[in-house]
Amino acid sequence: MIRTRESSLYPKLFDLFSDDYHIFLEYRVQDCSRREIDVLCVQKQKANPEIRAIEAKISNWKIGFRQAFSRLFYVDRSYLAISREHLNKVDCEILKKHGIGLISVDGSAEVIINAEWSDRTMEWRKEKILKDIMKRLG
Amino acid sequence: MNPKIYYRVLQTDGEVFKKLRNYYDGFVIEASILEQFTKFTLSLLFSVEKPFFIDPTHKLVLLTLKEKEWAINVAEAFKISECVEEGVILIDKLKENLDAFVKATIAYQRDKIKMSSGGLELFGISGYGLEPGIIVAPYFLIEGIHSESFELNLEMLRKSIALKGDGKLYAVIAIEEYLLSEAEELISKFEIEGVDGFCVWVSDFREEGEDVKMLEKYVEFFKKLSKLKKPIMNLYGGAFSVLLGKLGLIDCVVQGIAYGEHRNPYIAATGRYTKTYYIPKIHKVVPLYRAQELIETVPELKCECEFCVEADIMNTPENRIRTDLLKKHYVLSRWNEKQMDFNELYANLKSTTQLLDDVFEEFWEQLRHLKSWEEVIGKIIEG
Repeated sequence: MIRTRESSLYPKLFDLFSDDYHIFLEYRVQDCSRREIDVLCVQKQKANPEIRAIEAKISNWKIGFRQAFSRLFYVDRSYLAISREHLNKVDCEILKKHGIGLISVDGSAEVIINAEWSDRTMEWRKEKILKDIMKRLG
Repeated sequence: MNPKIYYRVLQTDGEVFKKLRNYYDGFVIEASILEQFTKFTLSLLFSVEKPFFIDPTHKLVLLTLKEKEWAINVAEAFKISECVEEGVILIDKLKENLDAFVKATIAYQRDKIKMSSGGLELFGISGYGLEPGIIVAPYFLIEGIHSESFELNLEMLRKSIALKGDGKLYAVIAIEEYLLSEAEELISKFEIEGVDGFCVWVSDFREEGEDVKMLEKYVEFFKKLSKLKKPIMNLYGGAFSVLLGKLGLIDCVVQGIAYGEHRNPYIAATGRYTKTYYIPKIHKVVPLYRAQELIETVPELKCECEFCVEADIMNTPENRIRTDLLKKHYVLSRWNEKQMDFNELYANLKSTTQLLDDVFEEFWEQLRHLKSWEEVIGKIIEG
């Protein structure tokens, strides 16, 4: 697998959420879209776990934003993660408008804007991911 | 004026064509399909009783012929086996053999269905529609105004006219997109006595992907061609062509079911299949998963036709949605576009554009064409 530069952000994102969530890196969605969620977080509780998606980008926040937007149809909350040095380029208003969270990554990862609960989630898409994840977790 | 809607025949679309026989006007049968699926094609023609014609050389348009069974059959039927070397039709040899090639190509269109249906007549099925509605002169892609391919096309057209008899003979203008800029000169060369109509194929012209400037050239091309006062068929067109048809510029729009609204002859179809969905209000085929997201974001785009209701596309995983329902929805939608009054269709286009003005740019790529169409059509109306 070709490792992208943005994968350098993954360890910090892992640290941020791994206490409460199972973490899956570069999770390929099981549909025709061939989409890959950079970091998929599935809550460790067994009943109705919350799912979060994080799209990581070093600098190109617009592409990251588009990807984060499309994840709203699959998960409960969606985030854009970006390296701290490019944080000031991000249009926070457009993220807030669509309920997408923002995470800054440097020496550690920090949530700058909390993601809102997605009202676009297609339940059957979420269930499909959960089913696949539960199978992997045994 | 409402343009006629013709569909390219594909062996997987038979049931849809039979069930929705009142929602289209006719068929185009590619020689490659006719060779591979002769019985299927015959059965379809006999059961739906629609006008048809045969597109003889669309697979040969680049002067190539793959070594497949159907291609060998076509080469034999068109009497060009001797002209093909390593999958390439040698133009010098073809020229030497041009009379025989043109004659055979026209005879193929006239007789192939009739001759293949011999067995069916034993079952009392005969009489209807064995003759194609029109005969198409053999054609290759025209690469330039002063190109050898253009001269060859004109030569084949002249020879075809001499053979046409009582039937209607259509010339095919298959061109690279950049030649739209040279419409005047190009069309003037096709002003030949004996031509009864025109089929147009602008290579890889995507009505929903081109900018305003290119769309205007496209419209201008059809305007100039329509001045010859002969019927015009667009061999690969979509909703924009239907709109042009209502303005009197195109008489027949040809497409496949949810494919074939454009065609790039340089790209062969791959085996990978993604389910697609036609969103009537934006007049575009998009991947099904994308359509679900668009409709989720803008519920006004939802279609309530009987097929969409049955498919329940917003609540059903894409792999469980029946392909035939998506195809039927496409055929019904295109027919509705055809039936709709121009003013109503144009007003709907404008109101959808306004509705989507506020939509997040995530989807803009899928929607950009609406504004371009509105602008171009608006200019035509203003004159």
